Amino acid sequence: MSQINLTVNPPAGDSAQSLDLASPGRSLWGDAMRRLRRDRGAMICFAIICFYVLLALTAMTYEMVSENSGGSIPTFQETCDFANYYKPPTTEKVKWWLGTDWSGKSVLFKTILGAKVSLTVGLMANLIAVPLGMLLGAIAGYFGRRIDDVITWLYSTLSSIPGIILLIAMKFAFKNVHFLGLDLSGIHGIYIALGVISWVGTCRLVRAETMKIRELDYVVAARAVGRSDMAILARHVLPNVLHIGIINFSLGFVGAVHAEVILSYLGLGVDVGVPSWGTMINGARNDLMSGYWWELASSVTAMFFLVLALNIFGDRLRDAFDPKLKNV
Amino acid sequence: MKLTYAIIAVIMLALSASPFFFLKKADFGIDENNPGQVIAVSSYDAKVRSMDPATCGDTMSASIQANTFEGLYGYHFLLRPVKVIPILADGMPEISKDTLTYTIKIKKGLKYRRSPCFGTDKDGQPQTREVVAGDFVLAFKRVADPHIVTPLALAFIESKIVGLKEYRDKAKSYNKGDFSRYDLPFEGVKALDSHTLQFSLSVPFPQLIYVLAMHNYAPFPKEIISYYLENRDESDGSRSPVPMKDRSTFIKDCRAMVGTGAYYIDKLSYDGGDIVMKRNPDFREEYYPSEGSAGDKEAGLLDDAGKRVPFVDVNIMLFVPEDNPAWNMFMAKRTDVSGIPQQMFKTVILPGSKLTDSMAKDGIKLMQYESPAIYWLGFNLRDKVLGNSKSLRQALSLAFDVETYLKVLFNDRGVRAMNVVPSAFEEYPDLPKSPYSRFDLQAARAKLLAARMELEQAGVIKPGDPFPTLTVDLGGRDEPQKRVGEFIKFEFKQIGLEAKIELNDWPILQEKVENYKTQIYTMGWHADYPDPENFLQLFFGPNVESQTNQTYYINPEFDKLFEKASKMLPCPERTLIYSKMVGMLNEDCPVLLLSQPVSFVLCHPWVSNSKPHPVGYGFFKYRRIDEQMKKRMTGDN
Repeated sequence: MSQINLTVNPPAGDSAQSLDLASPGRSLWGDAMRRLRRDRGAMICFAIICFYVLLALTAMTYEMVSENSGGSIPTFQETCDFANYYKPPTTEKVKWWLGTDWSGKSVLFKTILGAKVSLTVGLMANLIAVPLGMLLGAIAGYFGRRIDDVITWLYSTLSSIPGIILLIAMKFAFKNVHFLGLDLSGIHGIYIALGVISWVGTCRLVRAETMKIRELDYVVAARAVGRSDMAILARHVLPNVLHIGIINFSLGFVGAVHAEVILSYLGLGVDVGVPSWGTMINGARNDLMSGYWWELASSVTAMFFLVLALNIFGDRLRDAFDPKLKNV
Repeated sequence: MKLTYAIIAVIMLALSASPFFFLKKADFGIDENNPGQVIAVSSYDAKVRSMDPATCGDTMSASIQANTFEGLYGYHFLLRPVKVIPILADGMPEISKDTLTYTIKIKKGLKYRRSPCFGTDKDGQPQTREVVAGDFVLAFKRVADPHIVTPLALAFIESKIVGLKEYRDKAKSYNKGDFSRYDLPFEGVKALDSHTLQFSLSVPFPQLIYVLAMHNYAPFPKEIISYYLENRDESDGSRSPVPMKDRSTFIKDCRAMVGTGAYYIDKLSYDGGDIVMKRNPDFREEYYPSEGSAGDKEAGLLDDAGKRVPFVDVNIMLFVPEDNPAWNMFMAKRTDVSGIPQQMFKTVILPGSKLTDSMAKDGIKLMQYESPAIYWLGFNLRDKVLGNSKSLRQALSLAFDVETYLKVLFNDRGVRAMNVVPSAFEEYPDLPKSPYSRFDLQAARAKLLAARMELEQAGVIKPGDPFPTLTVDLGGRDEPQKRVGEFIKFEFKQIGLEAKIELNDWPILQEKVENYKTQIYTMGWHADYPDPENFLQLFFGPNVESQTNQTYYINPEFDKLFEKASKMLPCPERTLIYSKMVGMLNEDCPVLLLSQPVSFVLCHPWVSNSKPHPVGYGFFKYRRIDEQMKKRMTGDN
């Protein structure tokens, strides 16, 4: 009995090995996903990120509901309670778990609502930056010559200006500018400013990768049978550089969260009264000297775990997608 | 080989330690051989921008200069409400019946500080000379000089003194470096004899006495011009004339600050650095005042009554631009007096304006005074929403909880303003208090209903429409300003009004306000002189043109009263007119009254005779330092 069993069910590792060899049709994607799923660290980080996304969604729902409730549910700005300002953390009430700020608003709620700003900034900035970077990188790498020159010139120029200074300059330029019905002096301006300056990294990597892919046999073959450039780009090049985009997305997210915090700290970020981690940290400049540490501690801790999780996850994502590490 | 390494190591060590060999003890130019000297040490935080009384326009420069440059009049050190007393003048002015001519006698025997500009004796010691009326005439000509930027000093007397415009026009044609323009006649300020001055006014100007109490019009000896502005030191020690085109029109060197005050400035520079003021040995005989306000006697402020001033020999002011280091220096007993940084306030002052026990135990004294300033939210009455609805402005005033605002955002460093006039003014008790200067949401909501009617009538909003969002401009981008913004938003929201907060840099806000490009804005006014007129002129219709009327408040009746009062010398009748005008402002609410700031000053127990003055400067001469106690307490011997 046992003998038969052994032959029918070979050890798991062997089976995976043989499966790998036996099914050459499995995609890079499926493979990467599988490896990622097996990585416990990556999964924990992913769970943390999901938790933050959940917080952000809750915050968004709350804001939408309270704004449209006609006053029955107070918006966060209306929860000022000046009798209980600067209350240290206490377990008396849920909203006081992390203390209250200068106006008696709950620091716990403020931190949760701050997640929304940070995550939307990260998401929106990358939704602009990554596709832009990939598109420009692929075009530059594929067509070369003049187009390449122009795009290379563009991103060299952009990257020669210190990022944060460019960001500040753009925020100033966006003052009182309205674009497609969006008021760019507020948070929409941050999305666009961040998006416009942070595509450079993605573009560079994609351009280099495309230059390599352009010379590969299957691309040459496709060109030989007369497929159009656009079709080759879309079918043969872009899918093979997509992983760079994904990795950059997760890394860029961290940068965007940072940038929002710095901009808010400089007073160029979100509108007055909108809770965000940057404004909370900025506020601590006044409060810390008087011993009100809880607002700073909450926002920094919240930011620390999000950034840490994003960083590790981005790192593991890169490992998973890197063909060179495939069999490690 | 080993030796090479050892040598390298030694050289590296020596190089890294080399900066320490050049460290020097701070040199204040104090005579070390004179241990009996009394030295006062304080800190200051803003660079001095002017060394010339004519160009002085900021409080920092004024607080330094006023100790060496003195005007005809000044403020009594102790009396509150503040009172003008003669300083260089011999008695109060003799005013003609039409109040247009002021004749002023100057004290005899007043001397300038010794300076080489008055020549030297045979031992090479600098000389001095007596102050004469002509020096005052020169001072006024310099203020009127078109080649000197005299922002503050000129504004007060422009269009008030006879012949000023003519003098300015004529002097304009002179070369910048050609000082012979000071020989041109100036009709409005004349020296009748060596010790009598006469001012001729083109319009009645009862506030002239307060203008003369500023140090900006201090006597200016013509020797300064010939010695320091027309000539200069050469590297070999000789003196040579400055080419006309290179001449400066104002003092840029502290040696040229030749005044009559109790101190002379020994060290001072534009780029920060420590300031040293030393006792002027030629200072006239002056005595500590023997009358004070209520409470001064108990506070020990009259202990030195009748004693000759100054008490302190050297005043050292250390340049410490940041709040926290300045505070730490005070706590380390290195400076004698200090303000309280905003963020430290809670750890220093207990509720009820008392010092914490640990500080009180150290004997630290707390002084507080209400600054003659009022902060408000200005309404731009040119705006169609705010301009068309008095009730809306009243509603906003009623909905604003100033007490909480002061408690939460300013640690109670202020009191609610009851009308546009500071409480330190003599007339204040007779002026009506605004009925809208209180927190009453119910009344505010009722007013808001009336406001809706008014706005619908004016066609600004359609029936049923919500109120338009109000834009509030703030003058700063930092966190405290943002909190003010958030607070305003919250207060307006309480009666259902939406507010949008705009953060501006201060100069941008000023520009916006002056061009009426705002709707609601934060603003305040600090008194130039203790006369309600100084605040009421902000609402005088014709001042729209000079941009001092920033609310665009135009009320012909108010203007008529203002014109009438501005020609009157202080009297009960004038106070009555003032109270009528204040009543109008209270009713019309061109501003949402916020607060009158309260300032706090701390000093160590070895400092006495320190009483902050709300308007005047130049009171260093009264300060006394108990050197023995200081040494004992600081453990410094």
